[in-house]
Amino acid sequence: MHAIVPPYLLARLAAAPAERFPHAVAAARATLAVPRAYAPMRAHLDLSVDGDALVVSAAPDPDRLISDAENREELPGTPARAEGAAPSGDAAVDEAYDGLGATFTFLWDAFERVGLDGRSGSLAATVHYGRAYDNAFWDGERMVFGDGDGEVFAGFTRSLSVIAHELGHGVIESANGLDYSGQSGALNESIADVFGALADQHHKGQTADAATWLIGAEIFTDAVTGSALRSLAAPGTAYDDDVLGKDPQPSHMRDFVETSGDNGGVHINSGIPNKAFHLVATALGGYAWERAGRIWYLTLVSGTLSTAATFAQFAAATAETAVSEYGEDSEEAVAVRTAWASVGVVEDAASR
Amino acid sequence: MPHPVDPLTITVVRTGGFAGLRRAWRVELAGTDADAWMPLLDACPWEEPAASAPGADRFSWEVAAIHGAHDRRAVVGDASGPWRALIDRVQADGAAVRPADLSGNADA
Repeated sequence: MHAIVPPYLLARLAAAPAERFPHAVAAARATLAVPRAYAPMRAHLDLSVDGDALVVSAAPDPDRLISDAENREELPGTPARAEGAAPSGDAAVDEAYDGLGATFTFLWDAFERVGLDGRSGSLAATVHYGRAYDNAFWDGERMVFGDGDGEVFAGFTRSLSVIAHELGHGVIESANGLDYSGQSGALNESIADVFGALADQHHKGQTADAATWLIGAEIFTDAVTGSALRSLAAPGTAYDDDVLGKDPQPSHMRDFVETSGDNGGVHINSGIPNKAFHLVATALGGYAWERAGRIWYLTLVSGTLSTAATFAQFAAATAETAVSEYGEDSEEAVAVRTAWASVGVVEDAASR
Repeated sequence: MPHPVDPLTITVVRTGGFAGLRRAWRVELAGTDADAWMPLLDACPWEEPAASAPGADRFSWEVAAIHGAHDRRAVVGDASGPWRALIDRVQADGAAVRPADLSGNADA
């Protein structure tokens, strides 16, 4: 317990006759009523010497738990690898463990965010979900990975962009959330793809111009004609396969897809804000998480974004973030306004 | 009331998922085969709005059962219970259909 006045002393005071110490008794009762939340967090200290100075820096650590659903569909499954445990030898378990760690490091390094909710390093994933289950999803509390069908999908845990995309949904939910349908749902999907791409680039130390900007490049089998599931650089070009069909993503509002499936096409129309992000990142250059990613992240956690935000509302919010962080006529604010105009979300950037 | 010789056609369209792919399965049944599927169909809550499970990147399902003039459709957010039983059976007994080949679908 981390406190100066121990609870038993407060309790004695709270039970004392009120006439004797009226204020103290009332204060003790009020103090005891306040929840004394103690939320321990794993962290590590790095010690180094710089000239005559001892440099101490602290960074949070993740607290990972990978579970095995053993090809059933009950969650969470059997614990398979906890934080700090040695590799299990199960490729899906170990890939998920590494991917969760890399995403945690990215969130801290890029945005000083501790894990998904900003407070706890707790990260949970379940692998081997279902039988030949060709999907990975976020269930509100954890990531869940199928094994893939082995024909189209080779597996999902091998792709850091997939893992970071799913964890990105957790960050979005913690921030305020974006309703998972229509334009707000496509924004939700797009921001998750941005997290996916940035975590991958951060892990590889890639700048915006060197990166592939692909999501899920590693998950297809060799039988599929395609480089990845999605491309932020060129939406609509990621795959063209006789079984899968063609990448349906638009890159401009004029090609916005009205559909009833996929919650109103959240995985399709995400191509438009994805392209906007790519344009900002490549206009500014350098590591994409430092400025473009920061603008997107600050907008997400600003608390002013509606859960039903449209593309236009999000565009305006990112422009406001860029202005408040970098200035009205900054290179960053210009890049943001230009990008949204280029994808047709904003009519005329110059008049804003 | 469906004419006795009208075939029963059940189509399942799956969208969403992490990959956002569109896939479909269809089963066409006649006569007593169609009768055998009625309990499966009748167990499903066609009139109730689709409940969506929390999270993201889950599959979404659209189910249609057409028997002559009798047309039942539903969007299923959480494929569990009777919906899951019906969908599993259509996938097992039916054939994969290219989504572009589905009638009445303007979507690619």
